[in-house]
Amino acid sequence: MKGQAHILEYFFLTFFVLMVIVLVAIFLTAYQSMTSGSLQSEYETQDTMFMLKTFSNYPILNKRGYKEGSMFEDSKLTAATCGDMETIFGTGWFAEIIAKDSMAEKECTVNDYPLCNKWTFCKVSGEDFQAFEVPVNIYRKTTRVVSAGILRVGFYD
Amino acid sequence: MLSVFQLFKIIFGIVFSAFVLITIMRFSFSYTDIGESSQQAAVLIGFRKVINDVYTTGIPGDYSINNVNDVIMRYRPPDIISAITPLSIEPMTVLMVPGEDMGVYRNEYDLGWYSFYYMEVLPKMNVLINPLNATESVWDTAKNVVSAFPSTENIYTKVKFGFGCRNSYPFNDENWERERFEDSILAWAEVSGEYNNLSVCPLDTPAMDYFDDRITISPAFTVVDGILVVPMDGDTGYIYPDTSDPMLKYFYKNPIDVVSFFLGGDEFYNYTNKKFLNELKFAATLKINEINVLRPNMGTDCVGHYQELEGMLNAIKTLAAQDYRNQASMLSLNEMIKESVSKYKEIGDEGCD
Repeated sequence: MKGQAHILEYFFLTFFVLMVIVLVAIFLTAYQSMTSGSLQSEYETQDTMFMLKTFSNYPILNKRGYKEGSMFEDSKLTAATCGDMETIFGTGWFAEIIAKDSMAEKECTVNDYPLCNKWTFCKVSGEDFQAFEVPVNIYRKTTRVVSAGILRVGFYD
Repeated sequence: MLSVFQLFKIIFGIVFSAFVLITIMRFSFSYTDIGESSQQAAVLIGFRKVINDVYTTGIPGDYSINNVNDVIMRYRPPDIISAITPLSIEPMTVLMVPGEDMGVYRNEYDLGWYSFYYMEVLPKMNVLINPLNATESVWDTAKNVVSAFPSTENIYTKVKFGFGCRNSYPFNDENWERERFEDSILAWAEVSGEYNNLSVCPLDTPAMDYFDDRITISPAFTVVDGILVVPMDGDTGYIYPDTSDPMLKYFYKNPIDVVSFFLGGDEFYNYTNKKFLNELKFAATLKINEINVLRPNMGTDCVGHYQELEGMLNAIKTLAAQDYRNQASMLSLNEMIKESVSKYKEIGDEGCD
């Protein structure tokens, strides 16, 4: 009996030590997985933020000579197409620029210009995305007036 | 005398301890690998963010990577090849030479109606410009090539210049960074007339230890060490990467081609050409579309100017689709670009912009 009790003690001790090791290993693996997950998330956020900043400062869409940040030109936004932009920026993203003026929101096409205030590139409805917004300036070429607006850029999941 | 139970305890203890030790060691090795990879990934993500920020703001910066060879194996544009995974830096055009301390700089090739942005991510570097039998096109080429390097006055990681040689000695100074070297030193060297007959700089002398590499510019082919540039004018000419093989040459149409070749050989030369011509086509297409959008709202005085510009842009689109190694096509492209820049300036002067 005494011998059996001793053996049982060892088995219990062994079991608990193994449990502690397994729990520590699980904890460290979970922590590492969380860190990798947050790195991945940071990378995706960085991608979207970079797209936002690059788009808003892209020289082809901006008014020349304006050094303090960016200023879109409405004629350039109207002239650009999703296909054109995808040759530079790749696929899987979208962008919207909306000028906040007294006009009701109206999508810009060659026929509607300049009586329009919304430009959309590569937007697909029904898809999940992560997007960010920044305020931007939009130079109205025909009236030589600057409107405030919002630029929204996102990546599809 | 040991009892059976005591023997059991000893053997069991040894086996169990060995099992625990081996398990912990194996786990800690794999955990260390994962930890190192996560660290390297964080360094690369931070590096890409700095490049992104410099690209969007135009404000140069520095970035340091300890044990850079463990993190970045090489740069094969547009990917940074690391031990973990290739990291793409599209859509930026980046010329990178990895080093422990790197300066990050956005340079610009301004065509008036369009600007081509390209990034230069370089370690500390001292470049020797060696103009031989200097003519006007040699001096112009020297200044244009220097302007295509980064201006490091406001960052810690410096790219410095010198020129030479006379009596086997180069001319250099600690303060000769791009702005000063291009605007003052080279300009003065050309105007003074005293430096038109410089000789080939020797390869291995103490005076040459200061420089990391050299670009020799000569109006005619000559055998030299390093890259030889033979200009046709200030913007175009041929690059000879190895003058022991005079048949191996690359046509350049702007100074970015020369600097790309200098930094990364034909791999960078091909990459920069493809990016530049692709963006040029895109910019020309967009400008043509913009002219069509604006046409109904243009003043009658401006219509003619924009029509001429549109014709030039259509020609640029066609020429930019040609092989960049074709001298005739690229010379025509350069000519058309110059005309379009001049026409665009005229449009602005007329108040039509």
